[in-house]
Amino acid sequence: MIMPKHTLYTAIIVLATFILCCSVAQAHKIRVFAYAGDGKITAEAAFSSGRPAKNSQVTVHNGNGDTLLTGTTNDKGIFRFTIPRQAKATGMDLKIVVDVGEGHRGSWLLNASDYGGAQSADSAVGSSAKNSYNGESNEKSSGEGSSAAPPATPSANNPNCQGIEAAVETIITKELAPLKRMIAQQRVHQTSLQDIIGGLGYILGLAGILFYFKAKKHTSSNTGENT
Amino acid sequence: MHISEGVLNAPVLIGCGIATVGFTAVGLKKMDLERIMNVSLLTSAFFIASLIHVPLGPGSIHLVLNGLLGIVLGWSCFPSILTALLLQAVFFQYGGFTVLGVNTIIMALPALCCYYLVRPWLRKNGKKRSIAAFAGGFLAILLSSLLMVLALITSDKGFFDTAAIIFAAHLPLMLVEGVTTMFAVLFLAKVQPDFLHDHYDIPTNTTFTEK
Repeated sequence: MIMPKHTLYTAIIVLATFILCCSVAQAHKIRVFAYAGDGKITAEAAFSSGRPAKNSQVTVHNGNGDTLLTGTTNDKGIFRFTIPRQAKATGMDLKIVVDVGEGHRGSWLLNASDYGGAQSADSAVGSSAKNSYNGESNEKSSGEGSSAAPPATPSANNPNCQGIEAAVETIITKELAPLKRMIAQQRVHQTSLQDIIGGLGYILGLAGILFYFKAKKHTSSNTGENT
Repeated sequence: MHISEGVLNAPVLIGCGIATVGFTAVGLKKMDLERIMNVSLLTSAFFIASLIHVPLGPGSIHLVLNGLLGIVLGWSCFPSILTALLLQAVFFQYGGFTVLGVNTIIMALPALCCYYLVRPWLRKNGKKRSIAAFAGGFLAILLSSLLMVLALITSDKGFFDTAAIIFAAHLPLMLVEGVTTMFAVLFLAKVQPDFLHDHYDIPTNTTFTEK
């Protein structure tokens, strides 16, 4: 069967329109991302069309799959929770699962280092014997862009120093929050034109492979009939 | 329409996986040389249609086009939909590998039903063909929703309420799909009537010609 030329052209035009539509329209995968700040973890859930996933069930698991806490997202698809003490103490990775119902769910893995799990455990213990070490750990955590330690941590003997440290920490947390959100958001895979064209290429390739095998069978059966 | 990973339990996943392998084998066997290009064209359409977003319903819904695939491809819709879903899982992160079988069954089985229910009516010209094509698109989503509900219920009884929501959520999609399928079939009938030929019919294809 040979396609008439105009049909082929229409098919190409239709496909091209589809592809153009795609760059605008998106579909319904659930995007979840989370970031830490100010002793809390903020999880955001949205459909890939950008609409927030409202009133969806959120479950936070640890690495072993045990549920640590549950909750629901608000009108903006945001769920905020304080970092669980045991998670902080043991430095466990948190898996945040958002279930929208209808069999749709998305998840996000927040590594312990992303919210300052094990490090802030030291400051939570808060013994004055650890002062010198503590300052170092705070420095490290802000350097990594995670300032999960609460601002009120008693980290220095000098009350003046303590106040300044707390103030700096609040400011850094505030300034870093949008950055963290942006970085977390970028780690969510976005469908790009390459993906679409790549997929179409695979389909064509598979069709070619099928052609090869079917044609092989075809010719062999034809020659069989001829002889 | 794609069920995400980690929602369903193992027996459903495995059962549907095995069924998918069987149906796909039949579909591949029934696909002859002349139809490969039709199949791959419609696979491309199915693959991309999922990116076309319909802003209706409480969540977010996209075109599925499984009715169209079923009507045009018949048994070949199984390999076609399986391929498209695999690529969607790889490139768009829809569904996933473990739920590939379930999702294929959910979308391809209704497509096959539509093939048997609707296809005979497409020989008719004019209004009857339009109505049949609309019904094809509509029914495919209706049956897909039904299968989705069944899959969710057998996995977890607590999902019953969600199952009721699925029907409500997919109702607009049924209409949209019906209209899309209708226009697609009418377009094909006009431009490329070959697409709507049954290969069994080829000797007596006079019934299919457009006036």
